[in-house]
Amino acid sequence: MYFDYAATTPPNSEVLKTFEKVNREFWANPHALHRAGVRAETLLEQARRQVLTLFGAESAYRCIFTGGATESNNMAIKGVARQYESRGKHLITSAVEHPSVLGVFQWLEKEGWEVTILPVNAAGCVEPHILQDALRPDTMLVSLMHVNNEIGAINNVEALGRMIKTQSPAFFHVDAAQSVGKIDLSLANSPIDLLTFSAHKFCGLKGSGALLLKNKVQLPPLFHGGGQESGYRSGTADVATAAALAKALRIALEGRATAYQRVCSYKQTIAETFSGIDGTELNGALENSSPFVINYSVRGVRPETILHALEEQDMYISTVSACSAAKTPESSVVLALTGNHERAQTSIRISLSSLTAPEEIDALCATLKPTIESLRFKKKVGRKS
Amino acid sequence: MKYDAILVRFGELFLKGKNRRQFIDRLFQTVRTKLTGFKGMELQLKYDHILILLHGVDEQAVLKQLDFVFGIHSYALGKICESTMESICEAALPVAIEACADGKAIKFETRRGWKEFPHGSIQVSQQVAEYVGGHAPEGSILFNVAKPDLAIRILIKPKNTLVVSREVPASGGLPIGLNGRSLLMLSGGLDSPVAGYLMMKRGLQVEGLHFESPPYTTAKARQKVYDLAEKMAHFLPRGKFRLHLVPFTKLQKEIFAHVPDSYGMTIMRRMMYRVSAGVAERNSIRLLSNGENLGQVASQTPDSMWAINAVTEMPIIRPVACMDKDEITNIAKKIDTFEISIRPHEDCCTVFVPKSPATAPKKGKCELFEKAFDWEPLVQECVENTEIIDIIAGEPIALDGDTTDEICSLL
Repeated sequence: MYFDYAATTPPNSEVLKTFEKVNREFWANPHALHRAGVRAETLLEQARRQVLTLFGAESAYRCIFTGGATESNNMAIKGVARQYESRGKHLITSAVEHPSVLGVFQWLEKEGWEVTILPVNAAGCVEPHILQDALRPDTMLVSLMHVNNEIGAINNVEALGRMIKTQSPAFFHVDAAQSVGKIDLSLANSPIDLLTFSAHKFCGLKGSGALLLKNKVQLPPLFHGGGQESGYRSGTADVATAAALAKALRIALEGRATAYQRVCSYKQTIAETFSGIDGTELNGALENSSPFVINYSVRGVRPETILHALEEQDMYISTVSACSAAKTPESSVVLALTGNHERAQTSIRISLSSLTAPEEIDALCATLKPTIESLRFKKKVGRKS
Repeated sequence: MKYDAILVRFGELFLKGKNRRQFIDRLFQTVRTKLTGFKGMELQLKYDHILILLHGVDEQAVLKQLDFVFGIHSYALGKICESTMESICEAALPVAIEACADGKAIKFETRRGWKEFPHGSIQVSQQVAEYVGGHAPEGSILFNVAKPDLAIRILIKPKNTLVVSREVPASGGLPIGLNGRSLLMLSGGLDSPVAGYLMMKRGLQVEGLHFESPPYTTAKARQKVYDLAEKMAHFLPRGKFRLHLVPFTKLQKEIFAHVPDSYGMTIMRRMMYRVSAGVAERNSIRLLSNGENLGQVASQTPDSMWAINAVTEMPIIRPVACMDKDEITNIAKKIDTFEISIRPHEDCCTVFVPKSPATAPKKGKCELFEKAFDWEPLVQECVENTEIIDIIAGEPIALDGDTTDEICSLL
């Protein structure tokens, strides 16, 4: 039983079929002029249009297929910073961003940009008035995530974006890796200038993502070369991956509303279970957060121990996000919203998807309390002796 | 408020003398054909208008179809009621409220086509105004009898009475079909479809002529012309646009083999006119038309036009000759050809463009250069091998249809 869908999801079999069929029948270089190339190009452009249409972004945005959210984030943040450097060198982001955003900002800071890192409230969200205070006439970019990958906090990107647009010249980048296909998000009349997402978070393929950007936004390319993807990303375009992304997105969005309802009730059930376990605290808030991500600190037990104990019963959860897991035992996200090192060191994450079955939730909930309590018991004995 | 009826007013048909009836019949037929898809609707041909009784059909959908019909001056939307004073008053109330909604001042005007109606027309207007003034919500009605923004008309007839407001201008022009045909030289650019639209607006049945130079031009260029033809087909009474596709490669190659570069373009266009005239002749079409625009490119200077036009005596109409680019663009957007025209594909005019074409070619020199080769057989070959395709409105042809279906299944 898999409860780590925020880390990745299994590819949908329809998506795999598309990937294979395109690789067999549309493998020509889409920039070649012969008929096979034109066929591949037609498919690539149709996939691109489909992605834009699914976001309600047909005319106002462009779509660049990338190698995933990390690349999209790098391209967006480095790109805007460099492109508009002459207008201002102040950038804003938040303390709970994904490493592929924070890492880029840290690097830019070394390169001479001034970066303001906004704190978040106890729910894990950026407060509008704090963002408002940070905005300056030379702020060129604000980068915020839509849904937090560790605790599921949802930023009201629509409202925050409107404020950015009315009070500063800054571009607004949104990392939507954890929301696309799960939480409602439309780009029709949106204040968002750049949007990042990744296919493998909604049953697409790994190594596949996109950056959607408003027509007026110009970026220097990350990769120079043959000028593919309108010059933004040189390298032979991968039609199969692009088609697979478009298909995965369509399937995810078609089932989104019903999956959302279902997963909401799952989160409720899991929250009730935790409220019956002593020494557990919810990180973030239950209201206005993504039902797909649930994060609790469990006092007195190392999160890794819980992970492995559940693993023994074929249940996979995670501690800090997989992207940070290898480096540090402490969740910087939980630390940012609680200010409490103990909580940050003892957080576990349960993440769900449209694939999660009610029986799995029942099984998990039945297991959580006894497992955690049995682990704690051992530790208490240890401390006493 | 739901409208019951559309009053369709004729354009300049009243200028017609003895054949007025023919024009009106043609217009009526066209309107009927365009509206066949709507079930339950009723059409009535009157002396100076067509009355459409909607019977619940959505008026916007009907108006959208009528925009494709030339010969209509305007539409008025209205309500229909029994010819009694009470019904007229009741019907007029919502019409008046809606008319005044955006701050307009109204008045009522009555035409009493049915003389047995017991009240005089001025009396009717007054009584209706009184009723409306008394029954409408406070402040929702603004009268101005001397200078109204909008006159609401009450047309009394024996069977029923029509209360109409909102006059909407229509596409104008003349009904297509009685003014003969024209062969439109259709390049795939922005101007020629607009020229075609303007020709059709003057009541001509337009057919398209397109020069192809495969492999220099690709299937995409043909697709573009197909798509343009489909858009134009909507304006034709039967929704069918005939395309003549000329295989031009052989002739074009010879031109560039035998003629100096600077005159290549001029001679090529002379050949195009010869072929066009030939195709027109074969199809008994008496008028050529195209999207030439004065001063736009080298071939469209007076000198060039003189040198090029000399090859045929057929009349050639250039409807957009004196228009500015933005005027043309606006029409192209209105008729939905803009997005198609700006697709970047080579057509045969752009394939062999010399670096510096002569902007002031001499007719004599053209004739001299043409002596170097016997063109007539090749021109005839073009005319004879012209392929004819009818494009039906609403049924666009996709040249790579198989691919399209396959792609849809993949995504």
